[in-house]
Amino acid sequence: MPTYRDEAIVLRTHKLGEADRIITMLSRERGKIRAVARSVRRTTSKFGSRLEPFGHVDLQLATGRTLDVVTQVECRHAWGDPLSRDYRRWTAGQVMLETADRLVVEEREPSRRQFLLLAGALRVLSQGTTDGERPATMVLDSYLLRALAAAGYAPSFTDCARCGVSGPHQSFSPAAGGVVCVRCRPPGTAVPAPATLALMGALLTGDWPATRDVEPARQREASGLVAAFVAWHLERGLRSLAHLERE
Amino acid sequence: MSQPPAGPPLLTRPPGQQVAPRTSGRGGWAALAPALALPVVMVVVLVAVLGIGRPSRDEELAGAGDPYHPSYGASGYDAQHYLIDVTVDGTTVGGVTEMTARATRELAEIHVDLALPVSAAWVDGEEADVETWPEHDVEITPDRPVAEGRTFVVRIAYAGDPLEVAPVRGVRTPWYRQGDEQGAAGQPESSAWWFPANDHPSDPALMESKIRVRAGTQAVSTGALVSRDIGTEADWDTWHWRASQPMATYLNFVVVGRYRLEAGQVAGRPYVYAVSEALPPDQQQRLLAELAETPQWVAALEEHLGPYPFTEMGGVVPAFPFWFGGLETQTRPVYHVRSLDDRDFADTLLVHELAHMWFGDHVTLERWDDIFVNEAWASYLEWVVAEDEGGRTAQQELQRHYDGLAGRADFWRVRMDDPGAEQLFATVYERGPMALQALRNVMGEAEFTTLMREWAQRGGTASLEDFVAEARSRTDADLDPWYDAWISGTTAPPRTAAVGLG
Repeated sequence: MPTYRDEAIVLRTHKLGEADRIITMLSRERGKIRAVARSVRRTTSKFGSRLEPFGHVDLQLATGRTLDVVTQVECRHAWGDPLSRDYRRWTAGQVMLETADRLVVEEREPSRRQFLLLAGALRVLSQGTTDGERPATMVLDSYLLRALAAAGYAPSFTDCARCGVSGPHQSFSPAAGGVVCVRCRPPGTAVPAPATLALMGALLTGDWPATRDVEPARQREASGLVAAFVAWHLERGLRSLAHLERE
Repeated sequence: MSQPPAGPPLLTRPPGQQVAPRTSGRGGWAALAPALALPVVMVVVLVAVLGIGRPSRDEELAGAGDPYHPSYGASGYDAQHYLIDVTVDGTTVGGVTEMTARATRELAEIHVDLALPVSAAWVDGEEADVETWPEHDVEITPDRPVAEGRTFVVRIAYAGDPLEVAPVRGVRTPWYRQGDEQGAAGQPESSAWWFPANDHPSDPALMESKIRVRAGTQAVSTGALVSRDIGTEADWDTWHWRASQPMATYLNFVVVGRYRLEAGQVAGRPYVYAVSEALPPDQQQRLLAELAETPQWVAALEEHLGPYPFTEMGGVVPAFPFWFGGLETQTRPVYHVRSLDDRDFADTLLVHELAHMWFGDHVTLERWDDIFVNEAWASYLEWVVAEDEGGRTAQQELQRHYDGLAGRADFWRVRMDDPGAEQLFATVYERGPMALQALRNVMGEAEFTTLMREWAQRGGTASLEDFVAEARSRTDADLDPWYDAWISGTTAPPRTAAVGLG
């Protein structure tokens, strides 16, 4: 059987037969892959715990007739371990995994950008940003905005998302794709504080220093808008978002 | 001069209804312990394994049956009147709310939605058991069931910090606090943060609020201002507001703080405008001038919709920022400060919220998936009034929006007859008015304008299906292509005359 190597993050697993599991992963080179891990549910399994959700692994796979088979696993980061000690971070991480799973639809279609974003977001969630600790929901919101942008849904925070007239504008409409001018603004459009839009802009570009002294109210407002933006672009809402433990 | 109380006496219930502490005696039982041990162990095992003895509730009574929000509201009764008697001070909202309702079936338990901790409840003056459940559900069990058809009174005593309560859906709380100003306004959730109610639009009721606040502070709500202080306390004012027409729970609101109030009579109706004094004086002045345009826009709307449906009017601008531009709270919309202070947007916003007094408040959506009957019309009236004012015609607006949106596949996937809880407000503000102008084109001018006026005047709760049936009954035109394209379709309508385009 031909084999290949890749680096991947485990998104989810489900049982197969008596002792096996099917592992769904987002890989660096091949995008989403599903593979069988044999006997992984036995206590004697040599790589069982490495193939749990949040596991960031190097692995070797053998090409199978229907599903490929995991033959070797080396752990790069077991993010599940630090995350499991903090419920907020754990639930935020779950939303990240589900989002990556939903945004990368086709299997074996390389999506390096999505892989790097997820790997980076799990690292920041576990170890803090380059500018220090941030609340889990803020790290999540940054990931969601960036992952959607990488999927082609970058929100506009300066020019009107409808007509392009240059901003700044007051209103934010998920369905329109970002801020909207007075002329294009649908009546029920959210009117966040300017500081909230600035925060969302910083989260989209990963400008952590700009998020240092954000008031909790602005962060909550940003989270609400990000959730609405995600709900608009992922037709079915994220199931894990309902379980997110917010500050 | 009497000393001010150390803290607000939050629960204003009469002394006769104070809850007696429940006690249980212990003496003598110790001797029987060994004999009782086995049965006790068996009971514990049964409770643990089978769930015997766990409190249970009648799920059918615990919600109003809304397809998107099953936990909202309650069933089994028709609320007729709420008397909300609360103190708002610091981080606490507390008091007693009295709900008068008629049982539509025999009720062994009565459910209301309230997010604040409950201390006691009474049904027709008799103390009742209280059980709280997730998603703001409170179950009240009277000693004897309430017979079907009977009118009963539930009193509920409660107190808590509304900011500590998370919404059932979403992340935005409808309670706002900034400096010494606070209040509740929001859709679809808000009433549970300050009073217990059958919190679902299918059950509008009369409402009266007595809001007790520190002297020198104002409390503003819906309906008529009966009195600025009905109390006798030197350090407290109790503001009394009374709505004379039924209202859905989400259409009530309260704001407390230092407000500049302007009250008077115009066109035979009393008005109250209120603007936060936390805003700069020149901004207060501008905002009051905008609010003073209310009667002018009401008159413009009456030209198309017939008489204004309520006995009072007004508007409120708090300093704290809502996430929305405005909310059509009954008789007195609340406006977002920056939105109303935006010269390019203020008129549109006023017309939208005031159009809601007919569409949304007088004629209220029956379930949350009927949002079209509120928002499509309120947004459409913006176009109609702008045309009166010499702006674009409603037909030009339809064309402009259609040209901009026809190529946006994602916009059209949200159906108007089933938008989904997540996308309830996503597209109805644009697709809704487009659909109505298209209906105007299909039905013809005379039939449509009659339909618009009579629908606006009908009052009560209504579904989108009720509206479509009403439209069908008033025209010989075939509305099926229009319905398929604009209401249930998931792609851009074709440019054909049959759907009101082209």
